Formats: sequence, C-alpha cells, structure tokens
Amino acid sequence: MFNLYSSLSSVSAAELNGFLVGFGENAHPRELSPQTRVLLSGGQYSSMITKDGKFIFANVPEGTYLLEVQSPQYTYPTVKVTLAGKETKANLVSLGFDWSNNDNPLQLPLTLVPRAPTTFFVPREGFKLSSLFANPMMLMMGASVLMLFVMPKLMANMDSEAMEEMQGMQDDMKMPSFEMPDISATLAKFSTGGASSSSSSSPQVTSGKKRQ
Amino acid sequence: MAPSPPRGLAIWSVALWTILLALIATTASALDESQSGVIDWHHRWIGAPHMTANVRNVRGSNSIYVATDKNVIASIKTKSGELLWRQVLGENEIVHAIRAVTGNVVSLTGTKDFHVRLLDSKTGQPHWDFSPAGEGSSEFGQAVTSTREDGNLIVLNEGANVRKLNSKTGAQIWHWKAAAGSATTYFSVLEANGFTGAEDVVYVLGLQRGIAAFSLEVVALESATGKLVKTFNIKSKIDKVEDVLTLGGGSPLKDGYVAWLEQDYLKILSLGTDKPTQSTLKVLISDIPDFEQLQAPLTFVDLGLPEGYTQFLLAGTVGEYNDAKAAVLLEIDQSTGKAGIIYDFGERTGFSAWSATIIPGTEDVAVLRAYRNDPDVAILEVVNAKERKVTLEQEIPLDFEKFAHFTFASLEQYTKGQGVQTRIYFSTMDGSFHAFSDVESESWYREESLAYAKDVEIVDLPERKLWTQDVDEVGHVKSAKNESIVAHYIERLTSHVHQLKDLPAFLLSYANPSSLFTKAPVAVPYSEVQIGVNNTIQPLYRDQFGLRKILIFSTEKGKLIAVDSANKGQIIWSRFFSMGHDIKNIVIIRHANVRLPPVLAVIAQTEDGGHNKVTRMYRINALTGKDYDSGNFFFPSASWIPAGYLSAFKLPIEDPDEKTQVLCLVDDRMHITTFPTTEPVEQAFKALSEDLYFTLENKIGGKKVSGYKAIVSAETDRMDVEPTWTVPFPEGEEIVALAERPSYEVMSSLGRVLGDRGVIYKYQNPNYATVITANKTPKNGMAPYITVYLIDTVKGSILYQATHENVGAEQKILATQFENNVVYTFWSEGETSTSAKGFQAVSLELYESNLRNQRTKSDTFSSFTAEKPHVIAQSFPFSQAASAIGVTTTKAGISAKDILFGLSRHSIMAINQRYLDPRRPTSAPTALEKEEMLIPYSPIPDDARLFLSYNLEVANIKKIVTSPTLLESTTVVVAFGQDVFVTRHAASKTFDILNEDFSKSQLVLTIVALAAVLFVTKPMVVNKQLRELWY
Repeated sequence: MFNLYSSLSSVSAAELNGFLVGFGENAHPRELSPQTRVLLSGGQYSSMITKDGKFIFANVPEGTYLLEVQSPQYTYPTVKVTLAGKETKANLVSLGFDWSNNDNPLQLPLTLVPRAPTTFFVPREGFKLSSLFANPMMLMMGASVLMLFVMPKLMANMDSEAMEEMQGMQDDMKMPSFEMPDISATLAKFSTGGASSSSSSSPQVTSGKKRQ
Repeated sequence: MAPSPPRGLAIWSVALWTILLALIATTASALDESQSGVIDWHHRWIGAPHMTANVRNVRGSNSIYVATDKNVIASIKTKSGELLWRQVLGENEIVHAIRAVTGNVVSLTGTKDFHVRLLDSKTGQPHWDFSPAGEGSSEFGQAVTSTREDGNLIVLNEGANVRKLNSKTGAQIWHWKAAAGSATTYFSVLEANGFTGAEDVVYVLGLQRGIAAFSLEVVALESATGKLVKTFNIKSKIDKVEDVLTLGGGSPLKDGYVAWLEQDYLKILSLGTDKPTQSTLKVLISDIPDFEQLQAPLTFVDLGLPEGYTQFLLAGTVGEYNDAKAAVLLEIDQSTGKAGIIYDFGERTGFSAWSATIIPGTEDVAVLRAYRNDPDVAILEVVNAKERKVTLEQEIPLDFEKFAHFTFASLEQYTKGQGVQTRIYFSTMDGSFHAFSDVESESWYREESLAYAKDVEIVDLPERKLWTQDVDEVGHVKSAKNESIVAHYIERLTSHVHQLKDLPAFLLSYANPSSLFTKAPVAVPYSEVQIGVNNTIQPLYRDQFGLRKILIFSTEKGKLIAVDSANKGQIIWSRFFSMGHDIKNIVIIRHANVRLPPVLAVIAQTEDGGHNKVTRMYRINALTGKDYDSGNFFFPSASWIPAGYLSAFKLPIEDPDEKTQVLCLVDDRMHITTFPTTEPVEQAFKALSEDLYFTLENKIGGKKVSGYKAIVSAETDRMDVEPTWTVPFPEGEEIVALAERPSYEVMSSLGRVLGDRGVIYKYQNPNYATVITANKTPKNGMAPYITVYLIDTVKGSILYQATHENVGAEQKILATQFENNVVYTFWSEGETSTSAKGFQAVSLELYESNLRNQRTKSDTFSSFTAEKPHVIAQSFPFSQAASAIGVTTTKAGISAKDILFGLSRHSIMAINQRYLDPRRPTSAPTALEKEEMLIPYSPIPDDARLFLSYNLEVANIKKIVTSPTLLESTTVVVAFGQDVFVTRHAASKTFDILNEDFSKSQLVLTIVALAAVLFVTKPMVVNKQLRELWY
C-alpha cells in the first residue's frame, strides 16, 4: 500500500510498503529467509521483511526508483516505482531497457511474486554412456569410422566411369584450405576465454584430412 | 590399399576421443553443489559485542543476544559459542539498544531513520518493524523500557518522541512529542511509582540546555494515554549525559530514582518529587583508603541492571601513574533517598570491565569485575552485593600479546542442582569475544577481531623438501641450528628411514582397488568458535599446487591474525599490538627460502608520551608471528622513526646480508628511510633514486593528486622527497575511487589478435593510475557527476578523461585496474525521466594505437614521451550493487581474467572479462567479429550461478584480494571486511588439472574394454592379412 504522509519537516516524503510472497502454491511468507532485503535505488534505502512478508520504506522523497529484492532463495522481478502521492505507479522493468515504456503495470498495494527459485549450482554431468554417444562430435567420429570401413567396399563395387566422375567432382569442389593454426591467435582466443569453440573446430580439421 | 594401419589408427583415435570427451568439462563456469564447502570456506563474524540482552531464565539461557559496533544483532549459543542467527544491518544503522521481551528481542536502530523491531528468538526475522515517517535517531536520545502490567513497550527516539507500542503487533498506542524547538533532549524512559494525582505514570528524563551546563527535566506521562501530567524542572548543573544514571522503577509500585554528579556532590532525585538529596563525594568516600590518590573526578559505571534495582558503581582512576582503578558499589536507601556504600572493590591495575546480574531465586545483585594484572592471566571476580563477599575469584588464561585488556563484560548466573552457576561473556581490546563458564567445556572464544580486517598479505608456504630453519624434515622442531655435515647426513638418513614406515601403506593404497573409486571430498562443517587457546603450531608446508597459503590479516584494532587458507581457515597465530598501534602497512619482505622463514614487515603508527607521532617497524616471522631477530645489528626486530607515516613500499633491491627486499619508508617530514640501512643498500638506493617516482597521500576524499621524486643530497647523504607535479581537481570535486595496476601482475600477451589476424598492441605503461572524482553537490542545480582520470604517475599528465553526469551520490563508486584495462561502476540516475536507473559498469581498454599492427616506434617505453594511449570505452548495465571489486591473478597471466564483485547482497560474483569487453559489437556482429568471438552487446548477465559464494551470506565485503597459485588456471580469492570468505577460482576452468568429474575407474574400464576389443579383433586382422597374402 502506498500512503502519503504530509510530514511537516520534509517536503513531499512518501511512505512505500508492500508484500513479498514465497514461491509455489501454498507458499507462506514465513518461509522467506530473514536475510531478505528490499532495496530502492541500489541500496540508498533498504528494508527488512517481517514475518508476514511486509516491507516498509517510511521516509522516501518523491521520485522514480528502482525497487529490487535481494533474496538468497528466489529471483524476484525488478520494479520501477514512481512515488507521487496518489499518482504513485509501479511497473515491471528489466535490465538494459529504458523506462519510457509503461507496460506491465503492477497492482497496488505491491505484491511481489518470485519468478523462480534461484539456482546457484550447475548440476554435475555424471558419466553416461548414452550422453557420450549422443554427443554430435561422437556421432561424427562414428560416421567417419563407419566410412572408413564401408568406403573401400563401396569403391570396390563402383565401376570405373562413376569413379572418374566422382574424381572430377572432387576436383571441382574447392576444399577449404586449412592453414596451420596460428599459435598466437589460438592463445589469444584461449586467454579471452574462447577455448570451447577452438576445440570444436579441431575435429573438423582431422576429419577433413582423413577424407583427402 | 593398405587398410590395416589406418584402421588401427581409427580405433585408437576413437579411444582417444572417448577419453578426451570424458575429460571435457561442462561449458558453464559455475560451481557444482558438491564443490561447495570443499574448495571454499566461510567465517561468519559479527564484531565485538558491546551490548547484550539475556532472557532471564533460572536454568540458564540457551542463547544470548548481542549487538556489536559492526551493526549486527546476533544470537549466540551460550554453551558452544555457535552463531544461531544474525541480522546484518546497513552501514548507517547503528544499534542503540536491545532488550529481551517475552523470549524475543527488541532492537532500536538507525541514524537517519529509526526502526523498532521485534526479532524472532529462533531466526532473527522481525515479527514487526515500526518506523515512524519523518523521524530519525540522535546520539543519545534512544531508549526503551517495558510496562509491567501489559508488557508493552515505551520507546524514545530522537530525544523528543515517546511512544507506547504494542509489543505483539508493533502498533502505536500513543505518541507524545516534545514541543517543537524545545531546549530539552530526552535520554531515558522509566516506569515508576507515581505521585498524588497520578498513580500510573511513565517518566521521561531529559537534559535542558542551559548557558554553562545542562539541567535535569523530568516529564511524567500518563501510562495509559500518554497525556502529559506534570513537568518537573530540577535545578541542577550537569556537564554530560554520562553523569546521569536512571535507577529503580520498572513497575508502578517501585520508586524510581535519578542520580547525577554535580561538581563535588552526588545528587539523587526520587522521581515524582522535585527535591533531590545531596551527599558530598569527599565525605562519602572518606572511608575508602584507595581513593586517597584519586587522579580524576569520580565517574558512574553503568552495571546494566534491569529496572527496579538501585545499585550503582562509582569508579575513579587512582595511583601514581594513572594506571589503576578503584571502585565502590552504592545502593540507594529507600527511606532516606540517599546512597550509601555497600562494598569496596579496592584498587586494581589496568582496565576493569563491570557487569551485574540478579542471583537466581533471590532479589540480590551479583557484580562482576574483570581485570588483568598479569601478562598471561586475567581475573574474574564476582561479588554478592547483599552478603558483601566474593563468591567467585577465577584466574583465566588470557594472553596479553593476543587480547590485551577487557573492554566489555556481561555476567549471567543460573541455578543448576543446588548451586549457582556462573557464565561470563567478555570482549577484549583486540575485538575478540570470549565466554567463561564454571563448566569447563562451555568456555569458548570467537576471534571476532577478524571482522575488523582491513588488509591482507598472502604468504606462500615453503616446500616440504626445503625444510625451514625451525623445523626439520620429519616435522620435529630443531634444537640446534648449526650442525656439522656429518650430523646433517645422519639426520637425513634417519629421516629417510623414518619415512620408510609409510611405504607399505603407500603401496597398499595403490594396490587397493577401492582407491580407484574414491569419491570427491565432502564438505566438513566448520565452526568459528575456538575452544581453549591453541598454542601449538603444526609445521606448515605448501601443497602440490601451491593452493595452500597463509593469509595474514591486519585489523583496524591493531591485531595481526594469520589464517590457513586450507583447513577451513584455522587460525595459525595472532598478535595484538597494543598501546594504540595503528597498523598502516604489512609487507612480505622475504618469501620462504631454503632454511629461511618468510619475513613480514609491519609498519604501524603510534604516539609517544608527548603525543608526537612515531612510526614503528617490526620484522616478524610470518610462520610463527614471533619477532624475527637474526642477531645482525642492522636488522633489528623492532625499530622506529620519530615522525608520522606517509607511505611504505618495496624497492627493487635485495639486501645481500639477509636476502630481504629493501623497504622504502616516507614519513611526514618528507624524509626517506630505507630498511635496512646498510652500506650496500644505501649505494643501491642512490643509484636507483634517479628514477624513483611515486605518489603520496592519495586518498578517498582528497582534492588533488601529487607526484614525488626521491632526491639524495650528495654531501649530507640525506634522502628526501621532492614534489614534481600536482593535478588539482576542479572546485567541488573530490576523490571517490582510486585504482592502480598491481605491481605483481604478469602480462602474457602484448597485443590482441583481431578476426583478420591483425594485432592491436596493448598500452603497457606500468605507471598510470585511475582516479575517479565526484562532485556530489554541483552549484548550478546540476545532478551529481563523476570524472574519471587516467594519470601518468611519473610526469603527472592526464592520459584520458571522461565525465559521467546524473550519477547517484549515495551509491558506492568502485574502480579496478589491470593490464591495459580499467573497470569502474557507478549508479546512473539517467539523463531523462524515461531513461533507466541502475548501476553501470564501464570498461576501458588502452591500446598503443587505434590502427592495427601499429606500435610505438621505440624499443623501450618511456613515461617522458608525449604519446597518449588510444582508449576504447563502453558501459554496460549491471544489476548488482557492489561494495568491493577485484580481479583474478594467475601465475603467468595466460588464463582469462574474471572481475570479482563483492555485492551488497553479501555475495561474491565473478564476471568474465569477455562480458566487459568494450569491443563487443552493438549491431549484428560481422564475420570478423564472429571470428574474434566477440559476444554481441548486452547487459552484464545477472545470474546467480556466477556467485562464487553461492547462497552464503558473506557479510559486508570491503576488499577482494587474489593470489596466484602454481596452477596457471587457478586463483586463490580472499574476500573480507566482516566475514572472511576464501575460495579457489578458475576463470578459464581448470584446464591444467584433471577435472573433478574425472574418475580413475572410468579410465581403467575404458582401457580394459579397448584391450578386450583388441584381443578379439587381433585374430581377425591376422586372419585377414593371411588371406590377403594367399589371394
């Protein structure tokens, strides 16, 4: 709920409060961590939440603020709050977009529902035979190995004309030239974190060479 | 065609790929759950308590509530010292009072605002939060008491507002406000016996400002409605609020009193009257011989007794050297309204800490005095005030070198069986928190001094093979230092024989097949609590990858604490520099060498007897914390300069005698002192001084930066400092952030390779610094703005300058600098009303030229050339409020770098440099940009999987320091400020060691499978070859 107190001492100071809810169907705000904080303007104003999930900013000058929730449990949406007495508004905003768009208005009093539980960990990928063979690189290797066995048989069965035709086709096709990889470039990529794609390019090199 | 060799090759390549693929890690550089608590550790600290609240319980309370000067309210398990919960409040949210109410705890906090909260006893979560709009807090004007009848709260804030709050809901029952512009500041509230016409009243005590002194004002409010009943103006002359004590009361049936000191008199007013009683102090203490040598006026000591008790202490400094305290316990006589001495505590040297409590099952008061008069032990003395006798006099071991004197104590007594048990909690000068209990196993201490850590020096441990001076190979402490060769040889032989006993176990461990299936290590729970004082130091050795280090923290209170980076951060040694040592700098001047321990130089500033500044330097063995005295005259373990400290840094000179790096100390007389001062060092310094440029006194809040140069006078051999340049900032701007390239940084690559194999060369000037200034209140109604300067520290030229307007003045501005990069963050208020508000992270990259393949036409870099770098800048929206910033450092600088942010949400986040690359394309990436693997422009990812501290609450991170390990991929990250969090981080993943997932069993199984396949296919191939020969 937004209440405006016409305080004598400070001009146009407003009170802002609202509620946080837990995640899931029967979530009770009691389950929210006592560490949870609600911030305005990146920490210029900060509020704890009480057992019923209520947060309160008693003394905030009128203006536009970014309201965010720091919770070790859930990810909450970020909200643009325009405090202006009875004209007070709240809209959902997201990082990297400007605030001219007033879509996604929020009901007042503000009740924030978490988007999802926060994940801090990446699940470890255990060793699975199926995942090993489902790997595209693995499939590629399998195909090339298969070709190694099958090709000689196919070639043997092919007649000479078709063979020559194929040879011609191969000559026409401009095989991409694989230079020796530049060590410094690789290192530079490596040091800028490009390890993943450099490793993905190398099997193509080997398989291409085998085909020649 | 010769199919068999390639076929074999193919099989092998399949096998190789199988193994390789098994090794390749998952693509995201996040933690996996089983690693948490294994590669990292976290110490939760709260700071030194200065306030406690107990739930009064006859059987003894399970937990004690404490509040600290770090703005933390916490609940500590009384038996074990474990932290049950804590509420870390904001930087400005000072705790004014805590009070146990119906099992929970009420807190009064705030500076600009004011909060009353009822915190849950189990979780610390507020049941309710009362914050009056438009009101704040003042220095003394906060107090709380509860009414006897209904248990509601009477709360005072800002020295002017009195409220009655419902203790269950936090709802306001009534509000009384002092008249606007009143000259009275109220400081205390008390429920006590009323007077005729008003039975049920709450008294509000205030000090009215007079011309020379304050006079006492007592306001009586009706307890049910808050209506003003009567104001008593008491004629009095009071100097300060500490000279007034509120006593008694706590119920509408008990008398309340105010005692104050007025010049030579002790005056006591019974509340509800206007005539104080008066006693002459001299007469009062005439029977106490210890007060004969009184050095300063007597003062009150607040015993922290609950309402209803009228005992209080009068204490004074006595003795020839101002070094002792004498004290007497007084009690107000209900019939006369005068105070009389009931116990004389006598004179004790050193500082005394006091506390009192009610003896369980009685209405009697027990008073504790904690003091020390011995460097090894302290004494706890408990006195029964009614029986006037000492009930407990306990010596406890308390090392002066570690803890010094008491600063705070709290006494608790409870019944167990027939007897009364005692528990005493106390803080010491260094900041640690201790508990003494009658039950020996329930005494503990928490090294809370780590909450005040301000700097860290990371020391590499010696290798196991290179045994140190003090410890031999087997780990035995050496007795004799100088031994003959024969003795050495015998020692070595015996140590080898000793090691032989481990051989069978070693072989077994390899033969045992279960070792192939070893599981990853599991996190062990760790407790910050130390039980007993552990003085034995195990010999410390480096591990295989150099991941284990000693972290030596220096604290604001003047303590050094050495912590093991492995072993869950076990404390190795600690040392408190008492007598007002302000530790300015700690520097490792020698790393561990063969037979030579690492040496740490500690530079501290103190005052001598005449209040002149003195800079002291100590040389300490970093492995033990003891003074390092080599016996050489030129290398004393402690030395001093009669001047204040300005700066101290290592010079690129090593002294030939002790192999320590030479330290250059600049004092406030603008004079240089080198450590050591031997002849060869002086010669080397003279040669170096030609090119020695540095900056001094660059600090947050400064208005200019200045560069200096060392000059050595040829005749007098004096080494002085001469200013060379000054960059004054425009009016209104002051420094808010500073960053310099770390001196130990290694740059692996000179340039950056573009998509077309061209190179842009990095700007490699080691002598530039980043200075960010802010103008928080510009004159012509502008919004606050910041300016970023890159300044060459040798010649003082500005290499780059940029201004950001509409910056948040309240939010923290951070900057860091590494290689040719600068990263800084600030809060942007947005240019127009429709622009987004939020944090911005700006990345600068400095290059020699804006053209590819273009270098400066010189083999060497000189600061005196006029070339300016080409700077590429870009800003990125950043979702997190940060309080600290750091960068990973690795041994050779090849690994990618992560920028580490200490977040205000009490976490540590690692952002890869690729996300802060100013060359990230803002439109659709071109083929070249794709080739360079630039990520298209986007805000900095806001992903909790980038948190190194996952869901831990690492409170108030002020600094993040990193240190390389022997593994190029891995960095040790140390975050501190209040909590301490240490982890290992690999920005490019651990490419140089086997993955955590790697299991030996898999490898063995694969090999076995391959062998089986070979076994099956070999006869087939042989058959085939045979057939080919035949046909």
